Amino acid sequence: MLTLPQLPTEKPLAERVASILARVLGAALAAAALMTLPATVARAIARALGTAMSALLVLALSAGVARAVTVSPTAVYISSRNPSALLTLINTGTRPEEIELSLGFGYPVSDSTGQLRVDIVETAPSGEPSVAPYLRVFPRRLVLQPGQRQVVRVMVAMPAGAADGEYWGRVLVKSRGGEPPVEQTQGNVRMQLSLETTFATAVFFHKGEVKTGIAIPSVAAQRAGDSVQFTIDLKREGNSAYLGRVRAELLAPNGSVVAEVEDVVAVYRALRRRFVLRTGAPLPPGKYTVRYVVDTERPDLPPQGPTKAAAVTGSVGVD
Amino acid sequence: MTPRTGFHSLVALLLASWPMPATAQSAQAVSVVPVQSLSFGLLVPGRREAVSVTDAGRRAVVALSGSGAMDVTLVLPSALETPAGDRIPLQFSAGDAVLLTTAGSTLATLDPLEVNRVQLQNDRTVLLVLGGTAVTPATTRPGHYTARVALLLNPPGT
Repeated sequence: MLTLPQLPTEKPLAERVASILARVLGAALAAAALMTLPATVARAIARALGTAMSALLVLALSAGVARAVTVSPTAVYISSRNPSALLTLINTGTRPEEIELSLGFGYPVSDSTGQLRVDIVETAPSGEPSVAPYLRVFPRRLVLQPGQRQVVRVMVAMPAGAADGEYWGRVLVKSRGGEPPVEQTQGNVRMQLSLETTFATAVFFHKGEVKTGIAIPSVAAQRAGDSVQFTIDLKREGNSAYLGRVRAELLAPNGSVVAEVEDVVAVYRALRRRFVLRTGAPLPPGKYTVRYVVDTERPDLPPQGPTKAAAVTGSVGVD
Repeated sequence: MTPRTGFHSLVALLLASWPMPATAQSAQAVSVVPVQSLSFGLLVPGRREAVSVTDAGRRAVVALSGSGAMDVTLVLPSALETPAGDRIPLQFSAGDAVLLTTAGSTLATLDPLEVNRVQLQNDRTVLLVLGGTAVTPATTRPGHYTARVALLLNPPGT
């Protein structure tokens, strides 16, 4: 018989509550020291302490689980004129975090149903514009104490003869946490099941002129019960990834918008996306249309970030 | 010391001793912490042991917090393995993952075999919960069995 181990549960919350109690007791002692003051003052202090304790308790219970490592920004843009950038790692948790940085390559691809996946590999397939072999990050390993932040420098040393264009890579920030290994021994059987987290931060390196655009080889819209399924095929143009967004609106026979959807997209080569436009009610009979726009508005990315391109609009009738 | 200054001093003391989390530079920052690993409990050779996402004591729990969206891919092991190649197969299927609030309400059912979009708002913590099934062979031998569940976090649209 084997028993698999289990990580401690909700420990950070317990520690936090204990910390609160310690502080409250400390404050109560301070209040006791002030008891030589008149009774009215003592009552005021007691009321204040009671209010503060209640507020702290609410804070503790609403804070939930302690947090760990935060990585920002979510995408890094580097150019040949300024071949380095910074990533900031912050340990917002309550335990030391072991961090390991590595490099990889990968971008979103889709299957025939529009389901996305990102396969991260160490070595890019031949023919891919990978910047990974020329990326350097420093430091590669570190331990972040609670509350500590660390700046990681990301540099590109691209060979002089490299062609103009955009090169892609990923900085992988792996965080294991400061927990002891999850391991248990039963007789001659030892078991270990670990949980780890990897942030895959996209790196874009621009050399020379870069441009992008989007072509839409096909779109389709079909009724599916009370909703409409909208499928759009996107094909990148130029020599730079198309990081943008797709917005789609479902128009009723009278032209009114009855449903809408919006999502970000990253088209490195080609991508199929499928959206469901829901009205929340049965669709009355009639001729419906899906109107869409694909543009490069991405306020979530650094301002110097995605290559801009003209918006593409269109519409398709619902079958 | 007057009553008012005493009150202010106490409040200041409390606030000064309260640890404030560091602030991220990006509004899209998301942080993740494994809270609880998947625990199959007592495994009987020759039998399957399934852990449901509703099994609070044995399911895996990962806390996600921050603001913005994140595409979460679970890189799941096919087995617990020893260096010698002995295996305890693990199975994961659609319905083996859900997204919960910290109060336990279900936000969404996830497919652990696909990329899942998680939308975080206002720094609130949500919990990604994972279940699974261990299929222990009748011939399980002593050894050091290891496996790793990895969460790959990719900012959407990058």
